[in-house]
Amino acid sequence: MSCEEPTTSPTPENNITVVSSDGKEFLLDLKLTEQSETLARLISNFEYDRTDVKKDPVPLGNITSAQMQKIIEWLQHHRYYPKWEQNDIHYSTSFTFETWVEEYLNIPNNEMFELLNAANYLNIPRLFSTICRIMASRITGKSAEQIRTVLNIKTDVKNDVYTGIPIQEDSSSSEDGMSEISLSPSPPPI
Amino acid sequence: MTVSFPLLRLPAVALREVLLNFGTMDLLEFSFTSTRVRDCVFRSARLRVIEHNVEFLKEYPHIVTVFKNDDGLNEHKLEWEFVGGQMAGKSHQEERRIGCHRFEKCHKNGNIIQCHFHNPEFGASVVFNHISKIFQGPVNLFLDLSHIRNLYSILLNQNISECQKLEVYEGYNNEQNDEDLYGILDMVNIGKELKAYVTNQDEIDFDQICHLESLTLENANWMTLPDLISLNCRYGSFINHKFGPSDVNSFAENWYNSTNRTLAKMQLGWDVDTELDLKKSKLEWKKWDPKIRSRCFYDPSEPYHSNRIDCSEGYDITRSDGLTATILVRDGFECYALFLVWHDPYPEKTRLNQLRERMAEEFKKFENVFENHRGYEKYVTVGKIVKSWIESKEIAHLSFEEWKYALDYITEDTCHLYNRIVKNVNDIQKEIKLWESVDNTNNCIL
Repeated sequence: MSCEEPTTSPTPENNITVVSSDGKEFLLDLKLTEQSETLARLISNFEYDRTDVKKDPVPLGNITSAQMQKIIEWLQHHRYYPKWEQNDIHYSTSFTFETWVEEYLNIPNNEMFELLNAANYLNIPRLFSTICRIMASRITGKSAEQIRTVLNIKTDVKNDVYTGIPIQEDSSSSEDGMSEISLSPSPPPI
Repeated sequence: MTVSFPLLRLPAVALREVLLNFGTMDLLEFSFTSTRVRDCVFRSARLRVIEHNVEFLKEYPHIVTVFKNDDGLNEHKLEWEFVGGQMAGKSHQEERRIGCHRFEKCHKNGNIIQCHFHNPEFGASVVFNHISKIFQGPVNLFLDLSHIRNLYSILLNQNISECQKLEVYEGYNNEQNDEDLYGILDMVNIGKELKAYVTNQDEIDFDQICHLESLTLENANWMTLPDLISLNCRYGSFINHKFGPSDVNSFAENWYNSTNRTLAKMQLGWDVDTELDLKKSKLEWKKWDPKIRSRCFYDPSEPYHSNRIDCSEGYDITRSDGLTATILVRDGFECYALFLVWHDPYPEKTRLNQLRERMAEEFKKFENVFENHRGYEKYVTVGKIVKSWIESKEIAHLSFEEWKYALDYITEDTCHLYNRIVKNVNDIQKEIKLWESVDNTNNCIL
């Protein structure tokens, strides 16, 4: 999907200021905030879309300036895209992504994780869904053993040293055990 | 340096979204990675399926999990098939572990896992325990008593014995099995439907079946008229029984004097032609009046080509609450009496509306797929055909050869998607024509 991007110069009335967790301020065009359901609802509730209402900066305590920068890049790119509908994923039978999206999400796993959390917090469905699909694309077609390798999952079934027969460890272990799951630094190409 | 991705620290909604993007086989493989993943991730994700079919019908068990596709109308399946010695010929064999059980000889082919295990019935029980933990949905249990070695060990598994539907067959070799339906029903808790094609059962506990929505019994010789009357099923079918014409009359009279609004179809079969003399009935049976009901009864439990029952030869009674019932006797090769209740006196109108809505949904899917591929060079040929179908809102059969040729150029996934929509549209078109002819006949008569 590609969209023409007409050049418009944002006026101060059409902006709001958001403040990241590290105190950096970002000026956001109201048109861009439409892609975030959280911001759109906030703007609607405080009537920030009216020119006669004083707009206080919006603190985003869960989002760092680096994440905000990345999100603004996404919002700018998708500025003139049609509104996201859940149906859009229904017919995506293969994991194919725009070249721009592939480049945009060619980031370390920790940044991807933070970006997904930020997309979830700000409720940006297109970004959220795209990252989830990217994550799924790294698993698809793999066997359990290969998934263990890719996600660095430690199996909880061990073989008996004498008989070679599998012995199951206690599966009711704490949540800490689950956090051992990790993505390898160089996932296979999308 | 390894940068970890703490997948399980994702918010539940994000983790679920990632899982929903997995293919069904990917989900199954992911669940095999560790017991913790299976028990924690899948429990929180709550992935629902349409149904699980657990089949002990042949020499080896077969487990089929049916999923609803994203489009909401189509289905796809994940199958675990136990096989015999033919696994030796398969080149790519993998091991699967479920808890402390090791399934060493497994072969994956698309959405099917074929597996050789020394005790297939026990293996099926273990595999189904695993599958039912990751995918939640109702269970349909199919048993052929002539093939099962240890029936009661299967039924001891509560994941299997708590089922929505039970079908029991005795096969051809019915001397070998000592199990009776009474014992099976004692261990199985059925939610909705029972079909039992077992000839030699003496009696079953009426309380085990009286609540069922759909009931088919090959042998209902134990059943008395009070039993028949106190059933609360929507669909009933009894192939062998002790009921005679006077019992059918009593059954009809009881329905007429009751307020029962559940029953839709009751079928009583006989070995030989049975004359049902309605003159002996206290009720006033009347010949078909097109102003009261349609010619054809709609039976949703049958496939589209046989879901209409011609009731022009039937006799009707109408209750004080306005509900009409028809009694229809079929003789010849199949001898049976049908008692049909017209909850919808003109089902063709409702059915046609449903079918037209489904047709519109299918064409909406066509449009979506077409829009997604618009402009791609390799979709030009197939796109032209699809576009003409979308514009005319009909699939032209003449272009079928051309259609197959056009599909050669596109990817396998899209090809499946198009073919699935075409099949659905074709079936709907055929059923629409059948119901339209019923509607036209009614209109002509009226």
